[in-house]
Formats: sequence, structure tokens, C-alpha cells
Amino acid sequence: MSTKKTILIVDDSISIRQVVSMTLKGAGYDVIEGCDGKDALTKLDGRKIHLIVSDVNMPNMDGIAFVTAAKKLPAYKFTPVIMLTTESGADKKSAGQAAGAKAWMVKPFQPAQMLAAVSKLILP
Amino acid sequence: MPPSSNTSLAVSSFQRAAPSTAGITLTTVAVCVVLGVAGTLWAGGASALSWMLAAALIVLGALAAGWGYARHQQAQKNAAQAFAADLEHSVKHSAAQGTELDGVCIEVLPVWAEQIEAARSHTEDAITQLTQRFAELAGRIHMTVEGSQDGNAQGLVSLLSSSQKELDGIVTGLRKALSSKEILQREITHLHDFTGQLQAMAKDVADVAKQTNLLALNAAIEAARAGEAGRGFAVVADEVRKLSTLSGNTGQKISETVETVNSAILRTLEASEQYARQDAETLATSGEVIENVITQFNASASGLLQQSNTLREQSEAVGAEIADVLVALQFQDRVSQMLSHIRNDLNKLEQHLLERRSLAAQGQALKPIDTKAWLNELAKTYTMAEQLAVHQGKAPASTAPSDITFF
Repeated sequence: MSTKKTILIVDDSISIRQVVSMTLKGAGYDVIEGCDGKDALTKLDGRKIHLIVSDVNMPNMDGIAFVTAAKKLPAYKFTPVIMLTTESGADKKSAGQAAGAKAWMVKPFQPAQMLAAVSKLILP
Repeated sequence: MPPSSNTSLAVSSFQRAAPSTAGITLTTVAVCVVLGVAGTLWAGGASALSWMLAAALIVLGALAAGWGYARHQQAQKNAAQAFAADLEHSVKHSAAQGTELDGVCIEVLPVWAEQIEAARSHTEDAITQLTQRFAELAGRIHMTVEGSQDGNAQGLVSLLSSSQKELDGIVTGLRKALSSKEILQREITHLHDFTGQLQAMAKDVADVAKQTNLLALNAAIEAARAGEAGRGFAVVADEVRKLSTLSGNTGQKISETVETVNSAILRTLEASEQYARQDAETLATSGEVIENVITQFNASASGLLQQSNTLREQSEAVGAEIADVLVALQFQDRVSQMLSHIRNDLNKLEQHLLERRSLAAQGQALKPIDTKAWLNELAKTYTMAEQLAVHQGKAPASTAPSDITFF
């Protein structure tokens, strides 16, 4: 059984998913991906997920709605969430915080800071 | 805006034309009446005729004024009609222009939107592929760096180190063997010393035999002198002489044998010393060869290690550059969002124009477009501070990467 921790990446931009995935895999994490909120919810099937990195503006289901829905699932109630978005408005940040996110990171991100935030928040 | 400018031109020409005509007519009549009355009164004094003339002039003046007013009214009416005609023409003209513009917009807007979407889509595809390639490159470099850290160079160094230890062990073993031979040589030399003693002992035996022989000879002489009484003794003396002769021969043989053994021991010692010298030379040569080989291997390994380190450093530098490139490539997500917002607004405008055309076709009144509200709604769709800055006509602020807030 793998001892690696698993992180779910949710973003409609393939290139962003690739960059985040590469950054996290390089640091020894297992990564699973969702292309929007709706797709990501199907990945929350009971498996252990130690952290979620989610975009905000996505088709089908946006990041805020996704995090709100994820937090209602008992298995993921305490899974920490980092919002990774181009949005920097205070309203959206407040919405993210209200939905249950632990951090708000504005794109473009630096891999080192992403890893620092992940290691700070990830579940043991 | 063509319609309003045409309308304002018509209005102003109408306003200019109407008062000037009326003003000239009334002023002329009034001046004539005043001058006539004044002249009549001045010429004729305050006579009845004068008053009648003055009254007639006033009546004439009033008639003239009435005619003038009627002319003025007619002019005003004509101007109003001209203005209405102008206005109608302007409205028709501008309506026709507006319809043309709407038509152009309805045709062009979807094309623009599609072009923008195509550009966005191409960029997204290209950047995605580029990102994927860079990510693969970064992965390979990472693996190479990891491999070089764990593997070859370090492995080679440890292999050389263990080989040197093993070879040194062999040399030590050989040295031990050589020192064992030296012990053997010392033993043989010791044996050679014993042969000297044996030789001396053999000489002693020969000397004793010689003395015994002389003694036997003297005993035989004395026995002969004793005559018959010494005949038995003469036999004994003869036997003693025989024994002494035998002892002398044995001593001689011992001496010869010891000599033979001594020669053999000396040859053995000589051979052993020669072998020991050869062994020592071989050992010295082996040690030098081993040392040379190890030194050469070490030099090669050191070179390899240095090259490997350089390669690893270069790989790490390339890896860092690629990481920076990947960060920079995130611009695509921002550009994609900006283009999507523009495309959506173009689609919205097209939809709005189609609705207006439909309403116009049904003969319904068209509401004016609220530009400010439109711009406000557009601003609400923005997700980035730089979009808002551009919208407000400011220079887009440079985006600070990784602005992070913890809740």
C-alpha cells in the first residue's frame, strides 16, 4: 500500500493542471485530477484525499460550489482546500472562506510557494 | 451621432430663419408708422387734418403690420414644414444608417467571436502541449539528477575503494607469506649451523678413533713383549685396533655425510634466498602496479565524478529554468479567461442586436441602449484586477505571482 499522500487538483485549464500536477508529483505526492467541479465530485468516492487544490471559475460547477458540496460529504468534511485562481477580489475570497477553503492562492503561482502551502495544510 | 446632428442642424436653421423674417417686417412697419405720424404731426401741427392723416397712417401701419404678421406666420409655417421635412429625412437617413450598422454588427460580431474563440483555442492547445512537453522534460531531468546522485559516480567510487581494499589485502597476504619464508630461511640457516657442530663431532670421533688406534698399537707392542702371557691381550688389542679403524671410518663417513647435507642445506638456502628476493621483487612490483592501477582508476573516477557533478548541476539549472517557464506558461489561463469574456460580450451584443431587429420588425418601440449599464455589466464579468484596470483605462498592473492568503 502506497504511503504517498493524495491531492485532488480541480481546474478546467489543462496546462494549469499539468503544472500543478508536475509540481506536486515532483515533491512525492500522488495526484488525481478533475476538469471542473462536477467532474471532481465524482472523484470524491470515499478514497482518502489529503488535500484539494481547486480553481474558482470553471464550467458546469464552479470552485465555490464544488467546495461547498465537498464539505457536505462526511469523508471530506475536514479535507483542507486551497483555492488556486486568477480572482483576487475580496468578495470572492470571502465566498471561498465561507465555503470552507483554507487558503486563497492567486495565479500564476510559484511551485515553491505552492509546496509550502500544501505542506502547511495537508492532513497527516 | 448622425441623426441628432442632422436634427440639430435643421432646428437651428429653422430658429434662425423664422425670427429674422418677422423681425425685419415688424421693424420696417413700426418705423414707417412712427415716422409717418411724427412727420404728419410736425408738418400740419395739431390740426384735425393732421390728426386724420395720422390716423390714416396708423390704420395703414396696422394693415401693413397685419400683412407683415401674416407673412411672418406664413414664413414660420414654411420653415416648420421645411424643418419637419428635414427632420423626417434625417430620421429616415439615420434609421437607414442604423439598420445598416446593426446588419453589419449582426454579421460581423459572431465572426469576431469565432475568431477570438479560435485564437483562444489554438493558444490553449499549443500551450497545453508545450506545458506537457516541458513537464515531461522536467520529469526526465529530475529522474536523471536523482539517478546520478544515487548511482553511478558514487557507486564507482565505492567500487574503487572496495577494490583497493581487496587488492591491498592480497598484497598484505603476500607479505605475510614472504615473512613466513624468511622464518623458514632462518631455520635452514640454523640447520646449517648444526651441520658445523656435526662436522666437529665427526672430527672428534675420527680423532678418538685415531688415538684408540695408537693405543691399540701400543697395547699390541706391549702384548708382544709380554710373550705367551700377552697373547690374549694381543687379541684384545687387535680387536680394539679394528674397532678404532671402524670408528675412524664411521667418523669419516659422518663427516662426508654432514658435508653432503651441508651442501644440500646451502643450496636450499641459496635457492630459498633467491626465491625470497624474487618474491620480494614481485611483491614490490605488484604493490606498485596495484597502486598505479588504483591511482589511474581514481583519477578516472574523479574525472567522471566531476563530470557527473557538472552534468547534475547543469541538469538542475535546466530543471529550474523549465520550472520558471512552466510558471510563465500559466499566462495562458489568464489570456484564455480574458478572451472568453470578450467573446461572451460580443455574443451578448449580437444577441441584443438581433432582439432589437426582431422588435423593430414587429413595429415595437426600441429602448435606447444604456451604455453605462452595459459597461458595468461587462466589468462584473471580470475575474482579474488587470482586466478592471484596462477597463478603467489604466495601465494593467503587473501580476505578482503566488499572492497567497491563509484563512
